[in-house]
Amino acid sequence: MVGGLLIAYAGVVAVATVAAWWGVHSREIAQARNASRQRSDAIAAALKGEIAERLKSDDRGAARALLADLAASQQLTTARVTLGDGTVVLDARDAAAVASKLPAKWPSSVASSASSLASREVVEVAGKGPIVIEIDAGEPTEAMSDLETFTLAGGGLCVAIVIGLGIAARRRTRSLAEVGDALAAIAAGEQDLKAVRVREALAGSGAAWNALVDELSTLRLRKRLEEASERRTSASVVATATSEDVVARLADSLWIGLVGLEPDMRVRYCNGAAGIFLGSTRDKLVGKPAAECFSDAAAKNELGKLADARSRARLIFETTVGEGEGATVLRVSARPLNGGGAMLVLEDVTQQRIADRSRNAFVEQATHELRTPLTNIRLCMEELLDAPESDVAKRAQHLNVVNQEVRRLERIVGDMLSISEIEAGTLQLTPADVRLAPVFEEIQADFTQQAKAKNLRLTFALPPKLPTMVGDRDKLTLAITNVLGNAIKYTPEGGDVTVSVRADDKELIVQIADTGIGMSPDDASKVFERFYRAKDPRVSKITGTGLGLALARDVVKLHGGDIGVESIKDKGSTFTIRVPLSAPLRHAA
Amino acid sequence: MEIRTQQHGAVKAVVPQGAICQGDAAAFENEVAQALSANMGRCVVDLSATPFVDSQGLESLLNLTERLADAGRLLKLCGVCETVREILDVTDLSDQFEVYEDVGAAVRSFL
Repeated sequence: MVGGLLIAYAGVVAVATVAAWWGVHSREIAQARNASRQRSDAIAAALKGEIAERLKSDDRGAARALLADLAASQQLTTARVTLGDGTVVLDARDAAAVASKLPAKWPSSVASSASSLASREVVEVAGKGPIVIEIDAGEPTEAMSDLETFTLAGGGLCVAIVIGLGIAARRRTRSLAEVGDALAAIAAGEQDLKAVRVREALAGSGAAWNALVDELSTLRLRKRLEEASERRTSASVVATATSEDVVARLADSLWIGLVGLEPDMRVRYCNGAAGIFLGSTRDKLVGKPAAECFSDAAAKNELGKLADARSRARLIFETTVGEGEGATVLRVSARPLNGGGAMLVLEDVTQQRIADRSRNAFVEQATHELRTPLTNIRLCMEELLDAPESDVAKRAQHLNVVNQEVRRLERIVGDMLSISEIEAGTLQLTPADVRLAPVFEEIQADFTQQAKAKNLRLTFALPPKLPTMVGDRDKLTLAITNVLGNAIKYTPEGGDVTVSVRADDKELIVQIADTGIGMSPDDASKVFERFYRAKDPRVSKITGTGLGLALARDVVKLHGGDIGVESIKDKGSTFTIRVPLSAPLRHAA
Repeated sequence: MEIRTQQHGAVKAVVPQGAICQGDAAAFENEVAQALSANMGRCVVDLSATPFVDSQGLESLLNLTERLADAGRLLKLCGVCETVREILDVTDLSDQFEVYEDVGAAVRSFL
């Protein structure tokens, strides 16, 4: 505020100073101009006789020399002689403008000139005609230069001050205008205090207004908290309400949609949940035909059956409302009422249906995974029963296959059990101090032979010293061996598998890189899903449950860590496991 | 403040990335209100990346839970840090919300 006044005073003083200086100086300029004009007139008058005399005797050279000397000595800006029609006969400053040859017959009269500055003196050259001598001593340049400089500087200063004042005034008026708008909005019933805040950057009043709004917001919140507290502590509202209110309150406390229908199948009543499920509000739904509340033709058809007054049967059907991610599966139970009309009970079963689909897919895939080893066992057993006892080699071969398949079954069942435990929240991690060095030594020993059998180069890049961490040793080992087992399984003969381990103060990082078949980006994004197997035909030839990586991910997450993969098809994959060394273990969610 | 969303089956989780304070409270409330409306109430607010909630943020949360109250449901919160939990306790607002340990538990509550 004070700053604005100071700027205003400074502006007024500056403008007044510039105006006074400009007035004084412009008078000086007018005087200088007048003196210059008088000097031009005197020179022209003194010159006319001499020039006329020389031109009369056709001595243009002498006349030009006289004019040039005078122009140089008197610093004239214009010094020339013209004929009556404007033809330049002599010019001390611009020789190029001079006619090269004088006409044989000179004009007898002189045309008027609009020049305001040059002195014009008309003189008759005997026997030839009139000439005009134009002399101009020029503008008072020094004074003019001072004036221009001062005018520019002063004008610039004035403009700057005016702009500054304008901006300050505009900011202030805009701030006040916004506050005024906010007040008008409040007067009009605006309840949302966020909508009546103004821009604080405008001026001090904006920030002050916003502080008031915040204060009001806090007061309102406090009031709401007190009301909520009162509601909880006050005597039962049910005891003091009418029976109709009680029913309405009870119905509104349900996350189940209740819709009462008139005998003509129009909505008479609906609770809050029904309003949400049917994508509308109670006010709009009441009076609406029930069939119009659903877009599904099957649902309309089912509701049509209710209109038959003789029907007493309860109808149950499911219908989908909404689209995309918001699509909702509603389970509708419809029951006719005594005396006409009906009641609809709506339940949101969307998440249940998704869970059902997921469960069915799980069972289907689990069955498929279990069937393969069971079939192999059955076939081998049949072969064993048919084979003569003397064929020891064949019996041994079949028993070996049975043994392998039983182990495979055991692994699948174990994985499924672990995953179901994680999903059910019953998986118990047994946290303890885990010395990491022996863990990786055991893993290396377990897989070295397996890699050698497949002619793979398995490399363990372990630091000289590994820390001790808090975790479930068996589950962590399971997670790492599942990922490493996958890398060996999907790397063709002659390839490389490298296990790099490093640890800092906070986390353990295990990278398992292979030169295997790799994955497409789509496969890589789904590889940690249960039972997911890449669409690559090379994958389908290799046995696998599709549970190993899902289990590894779940175990790592339970340890507060994360697992990721980077893969290039036909080049290989790198899985990275990060586990905090001392993060509190989470229980299976 | 960035506000992320994640779809868990039929449930949408809104995950604000930072404190819910003055300037961000309106955007947060708007985002959750849209998710509630589009998913017919199947929405959870995951506060695992929210270290603090001021009075404006509390008011936004109250507005949202009151919006659901008429339909017999409370706003579901999960991943609530100690500070926010204390704020809810001190303001006596804890019982205005359903609070779950993490997003998985909150999503399962719709079953």
